[in-house]
Amino acid sequence: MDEKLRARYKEILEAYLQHNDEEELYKTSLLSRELINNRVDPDEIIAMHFEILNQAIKNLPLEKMYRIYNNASTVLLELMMSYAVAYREYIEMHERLYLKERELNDFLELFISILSHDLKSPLFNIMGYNELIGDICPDAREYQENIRLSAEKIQELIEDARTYSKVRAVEQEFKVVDLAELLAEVVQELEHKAKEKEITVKRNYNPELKYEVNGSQFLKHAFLNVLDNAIKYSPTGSSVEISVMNQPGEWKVCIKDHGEGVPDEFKCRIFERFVRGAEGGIKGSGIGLAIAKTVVMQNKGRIWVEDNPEGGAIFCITLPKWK
Amino acid sequence: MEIKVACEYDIVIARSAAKTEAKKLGFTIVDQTRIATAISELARNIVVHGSDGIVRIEEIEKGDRKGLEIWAIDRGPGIENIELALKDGWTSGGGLGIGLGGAKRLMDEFEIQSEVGKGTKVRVVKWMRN
Repeated sequence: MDEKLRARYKEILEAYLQHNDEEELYKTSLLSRELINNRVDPDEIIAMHFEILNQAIKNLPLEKMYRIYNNASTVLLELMMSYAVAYREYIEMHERLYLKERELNDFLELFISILSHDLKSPLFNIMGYNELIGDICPDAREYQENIRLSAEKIQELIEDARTYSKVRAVEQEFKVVDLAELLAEVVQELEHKAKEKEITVKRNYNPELKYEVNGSQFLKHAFLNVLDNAIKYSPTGSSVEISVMNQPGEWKVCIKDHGEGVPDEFKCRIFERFVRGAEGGIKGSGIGLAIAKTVVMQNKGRIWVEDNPEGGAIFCITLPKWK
Repeated sequence: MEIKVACEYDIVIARSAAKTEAKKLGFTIVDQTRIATAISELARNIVVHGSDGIVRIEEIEKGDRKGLEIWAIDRGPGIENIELALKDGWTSGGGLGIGLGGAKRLMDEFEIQSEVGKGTKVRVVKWMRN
């Protein structure tokens, strides 16, 4: 607990015990909100009260001790009364904010679903006609390839936006998930992308073992996005390494690449929406790592990025073990 | 009993007076604290908004029930949106205390009348448990 708050309570309590002045009780009621703002738990307040009190009555005769205990409880009662009422208000304020956010999310969801639905069919038209152009006009092959790449980017962006809104809006269902199995699926899904860049994906864990977590239905998206990111930013012909480590109470998954790495100033921000790596040659929507972070947080885990001592980045995800 | 409220120390006097009355009537220590906390808030509202006013404390009876009725009356700026003021205790009103909504919760009855530019009247009642 904040030492200043503690000192103020001590001062109030000691003054009240001396003079029984109503003013001290009034000060106590004002202190309650600050305790909430500083996220001090009721248990902590009660512990603080008795700690201060026990110091104050040390070495006193029993009868006097009893009287002081009784007297001091008035101060604690006053504090907890205001605390309880203010706490309820605090919660209600958060509920209102939550509802507002939900409303916004619903709107975002609707917007994205309209956007993705309405963009998809014209996009497929572009892709389809683009294929035909090559047959009709062989000279345009280079342009045609550029159009194809751009169209694919749009497609990816739409998919990412959909996933992002889905992981935030849809109710999560948790079940036991084996990370080895999940990672195998993830690697398989991204195999073609790795192959295109001649990237070897190494697995540095025993796939025969069980690495069980209580995972949501979106957990795969976290690993898909992190691995996809590693492949995207890796130089052609390099390797990406996935390892799983046993830590007390949790599994730690590391995905190590040999790309450019993430500069320190981006290490936190990279998990926000629309923050991307190095200038130029950018291949993502900027949503992928935000999806990963959202999902990992929903699964009560942590995600961060470290420097690979060999050059490149190591993305780490921890998840609590299935109990 | 009527107490003038113009500065912060008057709040303490109002609280103290209400508690003495409540104790005399036989309210429990928990209810005495509820009443004191609610009064703190009502009186604070008067002081925080820079006006002066009064707090009136009266013993009342309804059938065989006894209670304490408290009025907080000021000549302050008044409240434009009462519903919001009740809800919004956390974000407005000087940043401390529990707000009007909190006072309402602590008492059994709560009424408020307010006119912008003229002032606000709040009446709260706490009934004794039989």
